[in-house]
Amino acid sequence: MDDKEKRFVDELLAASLRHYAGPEPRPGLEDRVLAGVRARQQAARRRMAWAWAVGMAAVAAMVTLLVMEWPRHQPLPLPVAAKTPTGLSTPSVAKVVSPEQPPLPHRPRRPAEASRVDMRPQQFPTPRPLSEQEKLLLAYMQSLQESSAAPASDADQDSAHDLEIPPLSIAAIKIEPLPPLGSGDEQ
Amino acid sequence: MAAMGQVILSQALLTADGKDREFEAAVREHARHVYRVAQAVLRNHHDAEDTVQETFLRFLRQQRSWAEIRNPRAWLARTAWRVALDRRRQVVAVSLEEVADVVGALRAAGASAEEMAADGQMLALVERLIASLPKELRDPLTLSTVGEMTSTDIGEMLGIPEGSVRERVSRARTVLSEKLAELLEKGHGR
Repeated sequence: MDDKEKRFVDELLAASLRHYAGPEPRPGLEDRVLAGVRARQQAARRRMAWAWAVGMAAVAAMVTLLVMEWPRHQPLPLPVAAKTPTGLSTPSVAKVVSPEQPPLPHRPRRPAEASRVDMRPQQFPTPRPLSEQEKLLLAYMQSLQESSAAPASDADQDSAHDLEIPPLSIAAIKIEPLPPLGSGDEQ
Repeated sequence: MAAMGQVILSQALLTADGKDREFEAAVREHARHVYRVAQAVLRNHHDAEDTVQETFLRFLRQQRSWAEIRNPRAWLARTAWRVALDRRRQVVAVSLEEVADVVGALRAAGASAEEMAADGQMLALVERLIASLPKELRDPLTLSTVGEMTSTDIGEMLGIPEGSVRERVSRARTVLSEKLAELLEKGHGR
């Protein structure tokens, strides 16, 4: 390769490298960059706000669930078995239990207890028609109540007659006079 | 208490406003330089503009440490360089023989070096030749094509001494010149 050829290659390379840098940016590059950066920043802020909102909603839902579920984990103060018979809607049975038993003193409910009662259904278990055995039991209890109530009054009257006491006759008390002091009995 | 809150809020707004103005000033001052760095790597206008936006977005996210950035221009150029390298696509493979034929034909027609360099085929050829260089020669040469970048700037960006930059750019030019001469001879001989 002669010098002329070598010089031409060098010139060509230098010119090519100048062109390699590429054209100048189009007018308005700065405005486009500012607008693009601000738009991307706002989009990022919106995403962050949404993430916060969703997170807070989830936390609020969890707290609400926790508050609603929390009392159910504590033991109930009232025995459940005592309430079961009343659920059968048999008022006559309830009377038979003990008519002479004094009524329980009314105890004011605590707020937590009240909320527990409120959360339950008004009647538990769900009302349903009595089974054959339940009907038989109910009939038996009613007949028992009638049979025990009627003879009780007759027996009371008979026993009142049997216990009539005749008037007592008590003899007058006779008191003999005491011997005088200093008589021959001392010897 | 309320007055103190108002003072804090107004100071925060003033600070935010000041940062915003500072950011806008940085964009207006350095956007073109950042664009040239990106363009030198990516060789594509749209990709270069996207890289500029990404670079300034990263700059904005670093606003708490702006005071620690000694040279914003160098910081931006370095960031743009890294972003562009991440985005760089594979150079489109062109047939060197075909390009050499076109360049040889142009030269036979009496075209000057400047006219030949402006041709799209010649640009594709140079791009392919630069891509074939080893990385330690390619990076300094690519950055040296960006106007306004001195050997000191390039050395700072690549983490090498200024003397090494000059030496590597010179070696890269020599390699390119040899390859180009070989191709031209082939094209001229056909």
